[in-house]
Amino acid sequence: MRRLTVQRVLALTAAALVAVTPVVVRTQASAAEMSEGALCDTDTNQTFSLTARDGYISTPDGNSIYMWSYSSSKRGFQLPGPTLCVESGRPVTVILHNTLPEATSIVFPGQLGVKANGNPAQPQFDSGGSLTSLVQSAPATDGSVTYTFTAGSPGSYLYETGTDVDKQLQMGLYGALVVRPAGHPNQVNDRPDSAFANGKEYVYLLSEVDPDVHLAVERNQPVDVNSSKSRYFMINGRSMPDTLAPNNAPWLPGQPYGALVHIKPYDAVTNPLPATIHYLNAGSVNYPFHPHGSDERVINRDGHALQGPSGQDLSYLKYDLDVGPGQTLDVLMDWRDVEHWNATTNPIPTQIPAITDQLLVGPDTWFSESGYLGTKNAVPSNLTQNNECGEYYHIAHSHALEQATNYGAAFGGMMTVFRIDPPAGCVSQ
Amino acid sequence: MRTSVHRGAQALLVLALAVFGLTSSASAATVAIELCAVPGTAPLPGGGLVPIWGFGTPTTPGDCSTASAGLPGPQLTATAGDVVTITVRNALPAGHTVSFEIPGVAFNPGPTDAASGAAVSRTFTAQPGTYLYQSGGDAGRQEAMGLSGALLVRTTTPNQAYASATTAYDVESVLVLTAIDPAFNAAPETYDLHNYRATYWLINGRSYPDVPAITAATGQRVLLRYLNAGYDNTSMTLLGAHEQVVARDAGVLTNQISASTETIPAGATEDAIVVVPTGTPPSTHGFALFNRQLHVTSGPQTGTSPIGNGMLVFIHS
Repeated sequence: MRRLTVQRVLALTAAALVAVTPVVVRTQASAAEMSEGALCDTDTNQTFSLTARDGYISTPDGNSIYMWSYSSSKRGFQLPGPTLCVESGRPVTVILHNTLPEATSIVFPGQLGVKANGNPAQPQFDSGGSLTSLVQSAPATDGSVTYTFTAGSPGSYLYETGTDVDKQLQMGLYGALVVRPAGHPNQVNDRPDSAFANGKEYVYLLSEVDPDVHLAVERNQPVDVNSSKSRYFMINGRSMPDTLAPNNAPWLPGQPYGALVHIKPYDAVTNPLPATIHYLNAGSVNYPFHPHGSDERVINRDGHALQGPSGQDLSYLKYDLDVGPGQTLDVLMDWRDVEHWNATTNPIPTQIPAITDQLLVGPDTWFSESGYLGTKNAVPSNLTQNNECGEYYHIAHSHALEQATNYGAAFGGMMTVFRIDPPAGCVSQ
Repeated sequence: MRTSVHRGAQALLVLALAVFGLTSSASAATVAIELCAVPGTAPLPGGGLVPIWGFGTPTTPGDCSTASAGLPGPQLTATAGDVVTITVRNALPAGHTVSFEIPGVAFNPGPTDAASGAAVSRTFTAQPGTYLYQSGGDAGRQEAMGLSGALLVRTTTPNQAYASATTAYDVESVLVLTAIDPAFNAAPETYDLHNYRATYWLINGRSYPDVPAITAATGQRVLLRYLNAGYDNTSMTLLGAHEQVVARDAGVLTNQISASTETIPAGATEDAIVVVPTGTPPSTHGFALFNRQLHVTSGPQTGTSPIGNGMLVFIHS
């Protein structure tokens, strides 16, 4: 394994990326295919080639932000870094190639025994004894480093820069690592009660941007992160309403990951399994993230199942997820039709609120103009109706109000919706 | 043999014994601690001194001119069951009342404040745990100036933080997390707190590399006693190892939590145990424990790769 790793580095250095192209295969058939849910980079050998590079993201208010991020060496810039999905207990290799103007690296918080170029991952010092990096780095401009470790306990983890940390984290050098239980790809952890519905897996990587820092880095000006104030707050590198757009939306070329949860009501027979959401905080403050509508069951913290020494289930229902900086939470969520509202047999005993209360973004509404799941009524002609078939939408967002804005303008920022289709599915009306 | 039950009765017994001079090392002791709240200075990472108000221990009892302000204050220790009396003398500049408090500790009834030039004594029976002592005077300005420190109450079982055997440890490390806004410290009486913005990030009053490393061998259990004396919830990431959170605010958790990044709320304490991983020998510099909120650097930053003079420490052998 070590020899292979060294060879890879040499190949990378000598042949500039070309030598390692066959390894990374996308789960999706095409990188350009639009889709919903977690989009994994996987590989049979669990070997990933990442390139730290610069690029731009767009924000819903029309801004364009200069970023640094990890991308697959086979693809262009993206924010956040690729979601790497691996199996617990098996070796993982991550080759980092650096095109940035300063050294960068990757630390894997929560993973044990990480090696860099075959040596234990450890802090780096310059000749004067000053700390330069928390881990061996890839030198500026054209450097490489190879990290190896055995994937730890099942759950989600951040991977992120360990070099020039205060600046590089703000600049966007982070991504999600999802470790799956061996032999149980549809479970969050080793517990059978962590099973989730096929295809109903979501990654919510939460982060923030101070555009002034990014502009300074782009212009090669000094950066003082202690005076930083973030203005954009994002899920998977996007802000509301871009969070609702599908994966690989062509109008967001550097921001391939959507954040729309799309499920049907729980049903013991036809839809018994919940969805799972991996919450990862790559930012610098806690994000009090909560969905409107129903609690979620927290089953993992920092990649460890919430269970007692003899396997007691210590998971808990939570409304506000409040994931802290650098932390991860894995949750199970479903939506249960508790009230069973029905226009004839069980009418809602109140007046339906005016449509003006349901506008989220400009003149756009997702409200069906009906409280009954599966019923869609007409809306005033001056509104843009995004509802398809009477499905429900529940807002989910950071409750810190400035984090639910785009540079102060509501609504926006760290916000998305959970879509609940009628039990029989969605037939457009 | 000390006992942890019937503390009230035990305290009465101890008091009675104390009156008759019959206390011995075999039973809970009476502990007298004297502190002075005094102005002073503290070194800043990168050079220079910042004015502080801090607690210090007078070398001559009752004479605060022989005490120097510490950031944080002196580490106080007691053993579970001890009857502890802390006398605080107020030698702050005129006009500032010291209001001594230890969140989580129930003091015996008595005065709470020490006026300028005066003293106040607070007595309590010690319960195991990690506590932050502080002065709540001037609506928080005194804590921001540095008037806080760690109180450790150890159990009668050596190397065990709480009654639960799961809290046994080999190595103890106390981490008082503080932050400084030098502009506030320069004008503590008049500074507009809306503008308070800490720019220096310290562990036990120091920043990396001046924070002594935590030394422990492979397989040893390291007890991290976190105390957040700052004003922000603080998330600390541990690389290459896990920590088991065993207590919060001196209360043992029924359900312990395995974490690699733990958030210590402002004003709170937490106890976590790290088992130094086997398999990979720790390097000479070992496992990084650092502030995950972009505070591994302190002060104005204009360098190309600023790292390392903030809230960062290593665990190594």
